[in-house]
Amino acid sequence: MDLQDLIVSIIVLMALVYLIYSYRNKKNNSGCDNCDVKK
Amino acid sequence: MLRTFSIIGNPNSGKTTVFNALTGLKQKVGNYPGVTVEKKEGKFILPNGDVANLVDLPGTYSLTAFSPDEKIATDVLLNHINSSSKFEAILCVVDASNIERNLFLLSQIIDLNIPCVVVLNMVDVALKSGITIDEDKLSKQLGVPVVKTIAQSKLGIDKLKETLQNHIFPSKNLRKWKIDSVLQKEHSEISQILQKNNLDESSAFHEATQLLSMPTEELLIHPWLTVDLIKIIRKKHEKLDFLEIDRGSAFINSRYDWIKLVCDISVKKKFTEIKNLSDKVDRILTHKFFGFIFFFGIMTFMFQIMFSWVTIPMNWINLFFNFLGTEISKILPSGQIESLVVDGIIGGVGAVISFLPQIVFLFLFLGILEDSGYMARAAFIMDKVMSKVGLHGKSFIPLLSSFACAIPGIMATRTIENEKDRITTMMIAPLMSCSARIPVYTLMIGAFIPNNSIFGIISLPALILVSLYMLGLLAALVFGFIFKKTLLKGATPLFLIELPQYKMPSLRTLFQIMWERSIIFLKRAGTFILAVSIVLWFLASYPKIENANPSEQLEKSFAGKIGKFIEPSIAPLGFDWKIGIGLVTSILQREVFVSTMGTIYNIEDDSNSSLGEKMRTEINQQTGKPSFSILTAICLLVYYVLAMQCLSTIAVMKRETNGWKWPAIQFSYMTLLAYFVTFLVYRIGVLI
Repeated sequence: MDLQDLIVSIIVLMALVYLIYSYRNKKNNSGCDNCDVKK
Repeated sequence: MLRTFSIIGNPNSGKTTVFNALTGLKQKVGNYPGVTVEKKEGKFILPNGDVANLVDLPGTYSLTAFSPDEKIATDVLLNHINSSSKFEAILCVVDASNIERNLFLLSQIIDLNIPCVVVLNMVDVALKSGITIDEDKLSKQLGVPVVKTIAQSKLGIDKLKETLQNHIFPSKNLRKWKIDSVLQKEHSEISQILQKNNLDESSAFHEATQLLSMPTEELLIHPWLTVDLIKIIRKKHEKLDFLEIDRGSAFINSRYDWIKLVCDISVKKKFTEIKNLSDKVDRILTHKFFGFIFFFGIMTFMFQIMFSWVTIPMNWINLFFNFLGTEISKILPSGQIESLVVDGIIGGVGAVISFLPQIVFLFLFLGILEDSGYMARAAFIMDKVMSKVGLHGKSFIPLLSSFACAIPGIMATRTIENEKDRITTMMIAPLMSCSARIPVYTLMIGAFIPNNSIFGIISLPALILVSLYMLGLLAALVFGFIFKKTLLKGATPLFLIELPQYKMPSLRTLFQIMWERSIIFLKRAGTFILAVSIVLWFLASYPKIENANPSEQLEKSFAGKIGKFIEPSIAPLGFDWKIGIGLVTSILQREVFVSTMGTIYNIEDDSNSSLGEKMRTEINQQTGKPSFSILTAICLLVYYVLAMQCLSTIAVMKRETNGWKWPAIQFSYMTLLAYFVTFLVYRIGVLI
């Protein structure tokens, strides 16, 4: 694995963590990013 | 000390506008009833610097709650009396152009002995209709302070704050309306019994009125009545029914007698041309034939503009992202990081952001229709169609909200009293084409549908877009009918809707809507869609295949394998494995389909052509024919109209129905419907 692969792996991992966090948040809040309605 | 006030009023009395004017918040307002369906709070500063808390309650015509949103308002007011978290006074917003009906709610609040200030709103609209109100005389008659406002222009708001700061609210009861003499004795007796059951005088008066007015059979399902009390009240019902007294309307009539007296002294009315003109316009816009023609005409006009003028700023955004990609390629060293930034991030996020002008325009147009008062007319004409499927026009208002997004649409069903009707409306709301579908629609139509015009006026792309919206509406009506005949059987209710006055849409409100929508859209593109694009780029670029060309690399990547895995199940719909990747990722949100296509087509083809051009010119390596045809594009459009591709909607359905049953049924029926209708369209298309 070269340096470029390592950097992109870290970025992809961060994106994955964000997606999981945002999914959990959605499940708890049932808020919508698409509109201004929140719980 | 934090002072607390609450705000209440009839639906569409401008209550939320007063709330926003006081607190500086930007809660959604609309020129149709039922926008506020939840309790909301904000803070404002009184002239002496004290901070005050303001609670906005859903609009209600009376304190006899029927629907879940009205019940919130009634519960808060009734609990206020015994609750520890008391508010100092209530601001009762009264629509000056409709004062008699609005004073009905006020009379009930006065009954409860809650200190209140009347906010006489929309005095400009009243004046145009020939209504002038003497606020001093009105205040004297009601016994409470009255402040005139035009909340939309923030006029009268400072005086309102001063009144709230300086007025000393009396604790004495200000009730002035008289109960009919025959009912008086029975009412007092029940009221006294209730007071012995620990209710205070004003609450007992309110409850006694409710108990005497309600149908006898409803006494049994009353939450806290004892068997003895039920017996006593039933006897009184029998006696009054024997005397042929209409218990249901007797109290209402007495209140209106008093309201008439108040208005005779403080309100002057004269006939005006404007009211007359409004009625004439309504005769056409709510006509059973011309009303529909106007409705469809205005929708077609909107989409026509979307495919002509609005494509100009869209092309600028595309050019900008192409330029950005080229410049970044020059700076970054060639390799995986460059591919991630240019193909993954700019390709994916840029593809979605280029649809910003369409989204902003859609909300501008819906905002104009809403704020001018036309939406309530649209609900009125749709009532005839809705009643055919067993629903009423009240269900159409949540469906109209769903054109923007299904989530506020589902929340707006709280205005529907009947639980079965409410669930039916929620079940069909996601079939209305929401704004998240716009990028998918515009991408496919722009790339594959020729820009011809029909009869020299209507463009083919606009007509296709109207058809997609109509397909969603038709599917919603058909499934509304099916649900009402099977799982959610029930009678068709009557529909009453207040048609608000026509008015010039407020530029401030329109700009606010467009600004908020742009921020929400860009924020999502910069967070969720960015993250999905990065993960998708990884799935489409790894594992690395030595000496493979971009197409082979994509085919053998993780994403390619997922696409190939589901390809046999979507091949009957005319979709290949690349579309399959888009269908899987867009289960999260529909517009992710566009960013997915943006990323995978950028990995394969690094030319500066737009995503639509790349999709249109792509040749299938095995067949030697174009991968996408007009038929494939139409099938994909039909699939996106009908399929439930939205995680947020599923989550909100679970919350609103308190369980997984209805979201599961909704997801299943919509996915199966999308699959079979798309299959049919493809098969018929192949035969033609």
